[in-house]
Amino acid sequence: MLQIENLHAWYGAIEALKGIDISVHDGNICCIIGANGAGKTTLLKSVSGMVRHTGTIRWNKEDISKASPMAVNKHGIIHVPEGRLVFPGLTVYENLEVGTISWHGFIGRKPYDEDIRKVFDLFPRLEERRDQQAWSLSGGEQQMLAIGRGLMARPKLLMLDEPSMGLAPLVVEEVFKKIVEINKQGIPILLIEQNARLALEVSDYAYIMEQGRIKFEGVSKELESDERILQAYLGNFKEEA
Amino acid sequence: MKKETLRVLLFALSALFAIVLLDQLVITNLKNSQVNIINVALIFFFCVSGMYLLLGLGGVLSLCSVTMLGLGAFVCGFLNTKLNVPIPAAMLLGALASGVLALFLGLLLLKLEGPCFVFGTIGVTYIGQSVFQNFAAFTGGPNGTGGIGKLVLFGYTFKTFKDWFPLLAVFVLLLILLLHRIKQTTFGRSLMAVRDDATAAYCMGVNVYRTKVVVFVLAGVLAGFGGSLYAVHNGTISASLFTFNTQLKFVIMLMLGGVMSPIGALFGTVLVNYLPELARFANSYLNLLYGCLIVLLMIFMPMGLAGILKEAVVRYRVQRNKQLPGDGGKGGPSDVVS
Amino acid sequence: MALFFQQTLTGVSVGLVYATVAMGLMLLLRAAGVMNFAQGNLLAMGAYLSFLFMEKLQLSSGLLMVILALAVFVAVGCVFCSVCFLPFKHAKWPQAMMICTIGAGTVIQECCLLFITAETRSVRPILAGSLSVGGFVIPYQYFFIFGAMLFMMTGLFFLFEKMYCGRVMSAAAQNKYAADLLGIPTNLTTMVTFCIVVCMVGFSGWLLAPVYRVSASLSNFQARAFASVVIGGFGSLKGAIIGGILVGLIEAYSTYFTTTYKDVVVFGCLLLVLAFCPQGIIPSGTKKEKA
Repeated sequence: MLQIENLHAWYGAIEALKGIDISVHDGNICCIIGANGAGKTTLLKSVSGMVRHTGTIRWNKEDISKASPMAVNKHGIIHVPEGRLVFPGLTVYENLEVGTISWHGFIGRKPYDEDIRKVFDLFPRLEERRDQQAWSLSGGEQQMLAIGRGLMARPKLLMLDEPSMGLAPLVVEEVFKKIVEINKQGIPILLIEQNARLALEVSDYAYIMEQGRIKFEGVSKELESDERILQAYLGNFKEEA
Repeated sequence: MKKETLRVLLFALSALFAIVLLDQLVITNLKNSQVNIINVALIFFFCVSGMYLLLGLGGVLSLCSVTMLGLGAFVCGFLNTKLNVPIPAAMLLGALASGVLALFLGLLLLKLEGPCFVFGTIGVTYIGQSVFQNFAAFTGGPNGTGGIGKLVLFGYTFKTFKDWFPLLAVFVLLLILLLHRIKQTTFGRSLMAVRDDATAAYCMGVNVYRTKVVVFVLAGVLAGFGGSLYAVHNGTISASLFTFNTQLKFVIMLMLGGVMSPIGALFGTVLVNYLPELARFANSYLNLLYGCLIVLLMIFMPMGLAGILKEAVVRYRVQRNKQLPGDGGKGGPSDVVS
Repeated sequence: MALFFQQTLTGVSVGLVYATVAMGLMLLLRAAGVMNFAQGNLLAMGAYLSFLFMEKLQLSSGLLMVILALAVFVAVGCVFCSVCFLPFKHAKWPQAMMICTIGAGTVIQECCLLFITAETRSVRPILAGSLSVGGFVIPYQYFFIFGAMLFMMTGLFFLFEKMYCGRVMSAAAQNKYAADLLGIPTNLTTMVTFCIVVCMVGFSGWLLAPVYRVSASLSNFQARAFASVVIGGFGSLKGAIIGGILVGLIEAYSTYFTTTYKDVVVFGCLLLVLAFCPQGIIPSGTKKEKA
């Protein structure tokens, strides 16, 4: 279980997070919704130790607020960055291999064939592209590769940063199905999304962020039918649909 | 706009005043060799200012300005000593020759991006170095060109280094004003747009390639003119000056002063040239000190002297603003829901 | 004909040295995004070190010398990395890093000149003597250079193509941010890259010392390495190797018609390649190169 209390984060002199309290329970999908610049990505970066921050971040009662990115990874908290940052010059297989670094270590050879098998089972499309270089994949495939690479690290918590970014609606749905599937394997997921409707559909609990603060939180099903949220964040999609 | 003109005018006047003061109080008391160093620094500033336009405004790192400098110098020297062309004409032709070479190279190389372009310009510098050293009919080979005539302007002959200083200083002042002006023109702005994001600039209708070529030619002409000045100022030119190492020194001059500020670059140029004079006591350790200095400067002030100054000003302003009331994160525009 | 063979051999062996320097350049450009202008000084440092160990200190054991040299190279690599890369990780102006390498190169060169020797010195070859076949003479040292360079190149290829840690290193080189998030110690991988490069270039200098004598002008090799990188095809190690050998050959054959304008020929070729096939002779496979 991930618990965040009173988290503040800064970029230089600019305060991007102004006191955030969040918890992700075991086995849940927890989503964070918010507009651009609300601080969603900063939140994830703080958890993975990439941004200067204060406050407490606890992972299964253990304080990891001061942990380095490497140490956070060792705990099994894996951050899949936004914008599908795969390693362009490596093949799909090599990208997945590199994902194991947090438990594999630099030297030596521990078997990871089974992990790769699992990822390929989840994303059969990646297996077809196994020896292709990652830059040549389509956007959706790159997103799957990024998630697959995250899975290779044997995550105990997967943090996904906007997996729908820049993808076609059909592909987005496919990716989200896979996210639910991953969650069914028992991996809790912290999901960051702009596509609020879809995010609320798949998640168990949701937070809504605005300008570095949490504005709302609640069980996703309830938020989905909350009038105020509907108007402010989801648009009047009943009419659109 | 008027205020701006006034400011520039004020700057020019005070700079002129400073030049006169410097000339009367400092330069007259210096040794001839010291004045020579300062003059040469001012001449090099022509080359460095070209690099400022390229790198500071255009984001293009070119490592062949020294070739332009050399070509200007040798063309000027050749025309004057072998063909008896009068000095002012020879100087202009020298600048022109560099401009033409820059145009050719720019058209050829500026299509390339990033490191490829830099490598290309390095190649040009090495070719130039080799040609200057070996093409005896044109440059005098290892002996260099000597016996270049004196500059006569309005009946006044510039004989000694001390005669030259005011002229060069005024030239540099004009150059700084020109650089300042360029920054405010459409051309300057499109140049900066190209630096920050070439694709976005292209989409906004900036002809990236042409903009880069124009600034490359401009830098070439400036360097060529500097070269001509060097030839006439010194009377002799030797090919050993126009090497890749000198080019690297130019880059250091620019970065030391501040890549974003012409005045900073001027200070950097003078400082780098005058440093050996200041650190005479270190003698054989001079180069070692020099290397250490560069490393430390880059680590602790990557934007150069001007960058440090600017940062201090910004910090001061932030400090001042902090004391003003009415700051605070509450009450953003999207407070509608709650 | 004998002359031709001799020149080919010289060209290839010198070309291999260019290739190692160029590969080092390429590795640093990919891993740290820095164009290293101290490459030539590092090469010269290797040569100076060989003079120091073989002539000045008169060390007898070859193994000891190699271990000592390795230690020095790794130390220099670490210092070089922490001076020229780590402080600039968040720098706004990438050129600052490049200037820093120029400064570091000056420091390295001056240290060699001040503390080892200021004069041009000669070093005895590791393998003395020469092989003469059918009228042309090949010093054994050339074979040694040949072998050592091939060894280094295959080692490098093995590291980056076959080994897990090589893969991790190239991942870190391609995207620092994503690599950090995966828990790859990017500072460490970059530092290791620096050390590898310094070792490669340093040992090349070591091998060159008997052929070219020990002097600061060895650093001029760096310009040829720049040319090699472009001629072979920017962005790939394979390209750097082929480019290096090509540059070596061009230089060797150019002595047929000129000796004074060698530079013009070599760098003229560079400009021609840039003008007509900027992808280089071997276009690299990746679309996204490190700019």
